[in-house]
Amino acid sequence: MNYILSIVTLACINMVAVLGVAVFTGFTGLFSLGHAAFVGIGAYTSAILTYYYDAPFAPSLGAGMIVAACVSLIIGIPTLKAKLRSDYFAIAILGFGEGLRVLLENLEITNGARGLPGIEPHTTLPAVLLALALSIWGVRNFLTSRWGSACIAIREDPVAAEMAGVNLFRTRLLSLLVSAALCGLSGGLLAHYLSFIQPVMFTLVQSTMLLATVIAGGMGSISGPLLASFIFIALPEALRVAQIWRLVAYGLVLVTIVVYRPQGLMGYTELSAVLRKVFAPGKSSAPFSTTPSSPREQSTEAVPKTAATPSPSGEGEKPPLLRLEHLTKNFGGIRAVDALSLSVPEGTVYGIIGPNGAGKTTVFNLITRVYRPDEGVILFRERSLLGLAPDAIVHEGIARTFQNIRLFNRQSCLENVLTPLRQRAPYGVASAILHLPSVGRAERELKARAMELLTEMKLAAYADAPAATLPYGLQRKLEIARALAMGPSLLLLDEPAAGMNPEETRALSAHIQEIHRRFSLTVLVIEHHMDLIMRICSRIAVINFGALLAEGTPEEIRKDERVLEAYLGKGKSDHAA
Amino acid sequence: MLLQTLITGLSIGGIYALMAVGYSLVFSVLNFSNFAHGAVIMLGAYIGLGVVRFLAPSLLPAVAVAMIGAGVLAVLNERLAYSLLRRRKAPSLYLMISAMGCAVLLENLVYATIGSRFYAYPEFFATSVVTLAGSTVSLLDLFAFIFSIGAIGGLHLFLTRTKTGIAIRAGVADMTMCSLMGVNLDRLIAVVFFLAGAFAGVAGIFLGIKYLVYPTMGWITNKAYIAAVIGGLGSLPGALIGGLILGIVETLVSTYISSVYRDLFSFGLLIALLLYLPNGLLGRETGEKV
Repeated sequence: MNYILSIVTLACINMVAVLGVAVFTGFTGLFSLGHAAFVGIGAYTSAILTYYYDAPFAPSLGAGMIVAACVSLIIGIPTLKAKLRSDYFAIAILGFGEGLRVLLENLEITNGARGLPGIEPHTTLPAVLLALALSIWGVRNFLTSRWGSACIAIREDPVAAEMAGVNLFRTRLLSLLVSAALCGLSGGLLAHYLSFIQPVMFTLVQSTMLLATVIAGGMGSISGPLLASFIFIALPEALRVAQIWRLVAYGLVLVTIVVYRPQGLMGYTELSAVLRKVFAPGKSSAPFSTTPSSPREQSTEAVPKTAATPSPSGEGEKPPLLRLEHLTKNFGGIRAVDALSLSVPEGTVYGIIGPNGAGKTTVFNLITRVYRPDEGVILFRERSLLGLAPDAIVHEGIARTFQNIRLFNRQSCLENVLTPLRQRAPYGVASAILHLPSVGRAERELKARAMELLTEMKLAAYADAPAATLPYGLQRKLEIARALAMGPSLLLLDEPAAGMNPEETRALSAHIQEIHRRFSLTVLVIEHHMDLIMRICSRIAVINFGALLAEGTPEEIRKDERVLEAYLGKGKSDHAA
Repeated sequence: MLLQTLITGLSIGGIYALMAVGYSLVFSVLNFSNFAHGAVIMLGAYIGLGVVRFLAPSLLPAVAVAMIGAGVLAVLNERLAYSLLRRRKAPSLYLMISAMGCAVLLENLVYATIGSRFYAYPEFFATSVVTLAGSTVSLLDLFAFIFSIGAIGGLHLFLTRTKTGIAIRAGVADMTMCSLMGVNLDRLIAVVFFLAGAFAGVAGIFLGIKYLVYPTMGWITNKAYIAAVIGGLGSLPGALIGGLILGIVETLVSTYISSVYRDLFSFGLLIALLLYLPNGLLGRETGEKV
């Protein structure tokens, strides 16, 4: 009986650390090979406090968590700020973990490689279960809050996440802090259970095992890794397998899962969702849906959003909303954008056309700071955008869609629209983790607004469906809905009609005009579908080889010799769209 | 003293260079960090040991068999653990995870079957020394250094003068285009892994002779990453230079500062490089299209 209890205790202690790695790797998509170091820091900190200073148990655990979190900042801030690609980042963390181990082996206070014996065995099974339960509760609150939304968005598509107003650096750092704190808690519990710790217990091998558990359990799930953790610890004991073969099994499982079933046990769903499907089929819900399913109605009566103001047609009176001056961007030897100067009046639907490769999308990428211009200025409401980070530009009031749709594919449509809305939510991290009432209220409001938006775009029926399952045309609409959720004054649409037939294009044109009117937007649209451009734009700019070829009203452009030469074609017949 | 330190540094640097070259080769072609490289190094050491124990107690056969054996193992590793992912165009993250799994699997397999005992190669040239300007160089170190340079030079010739070599360099630039030009990608990648494995095998033997043979010796590949990053990931001359620089700098730190903190210094160097000089000395910059 004692033996079984000890297995369960060890498994639960391990689960706390696994939870931490699940937040960082599973939900934020950052691969780390050094989290065992944070377990070690938590273990040593709490052990030193109780051993040398007779500190009480719970505060020492807390101290372990805090120190682990602070240490994670040391490696986190430089590496995350530098935006290292995923394997460089993993190597950096690996180096950090190994370096930390060397440090632990050589400091006096840690007793070096000999380890620290005689730690008070404060850890009991009830204490561990309490810690685990609190951790799961806290993590669940974190992941269903705006922060969790941001982490998942980063995992799904970092570029789109930034365009939804998520600050990549701060969110990743927060994810690291939370995961390090959880690992630290696990370490503290471990130290006071085994009564003896050694640096060799917190190396790359243990980090790999943590990672293997999360991957086997499923990135994007909480219950999956917890289940896997239990299996990995309990099963070898049940089979009386020697420690060495256990590690062989870890390695084999890791390779097999990554190659043959990369989503692991639970994939992106939770055990509760699977059980619900088994016992109450018929209610479909998107993976890790933070919103409960409830009957949706396709409402034909769209909820009026803002007072419908007629779109201002007077262009000379207000200053232009967006101004580009001598904008230039080179990629190596290619001049993608060549001293482009443009002025977009407020309240217009402004078209940008030109041959493929003319640099139109690059202009969008420059405005939204995906790239930095080599020369020139970008002025939004007469203020320069050049120093701002991409998510700050979103908060200024500029939203965009992408040429190749960039949705958060595994998230539901509602989640896709909620993500940008949540980035403006008024609650902080601590409130989120503790799930204070204000958080619940804020979330309900945001959810209602997201549903309004979906209803307006006639997507309400798909609210709980994963975005990737939508037909192409509806995916485009969802992307526009997500952009609108950011409450922009300027909407950048990059080839919204790509791949659509004339009927769909007509519907899209009407739709764009509708939202232009209803939300009082200025719309900048890149398109090749001339019927759409000519129908809805009040002014058009033509770009060729990165430079402005012509600019004017649709009639002027249609007749312009240079435009006909470069792009529209001098045909014998003259078809009006 | 300084000269002696330099010579020691160069000798271990040569071995680092051998490890880094194999690692950089795979990285430059497949764009992922092959964490299983260390396991292949370790297996090369064991193969060489086996040859010396049970076949012929002399160096050259051991090196030859270890090179071929480790090369074959590397190809098998690729086939079993990476090829499906590669065909599925999985992100490099998954390849890395698979590599990690292989490393743990192989290391512990050796642990479980052969045992954790440390083995030593019989004394070859380990005891004979040469004196150069007042400092002693072990004959083995000299041999290892010359062999490293020679092997890497040979690789360079292979890459620039043979058909397969040119195909590999084309693959480094653009795999898809390469296959469209009629190159059999599977065969190409097999060749790349064989070469990487062969280099790993030699590095393993030299490490085994210089130090000892044991299942976890593969983790010295950490040094290979550092060397490769110094020289610039994806650059083979960079791997050579990086290895030599790392060897010298490490030995200098070890001699003049503290041998205990040598590894700490190396990891710190790694992190600093990844942050501030990610392309190393000779590496190339690649951007992402949005």
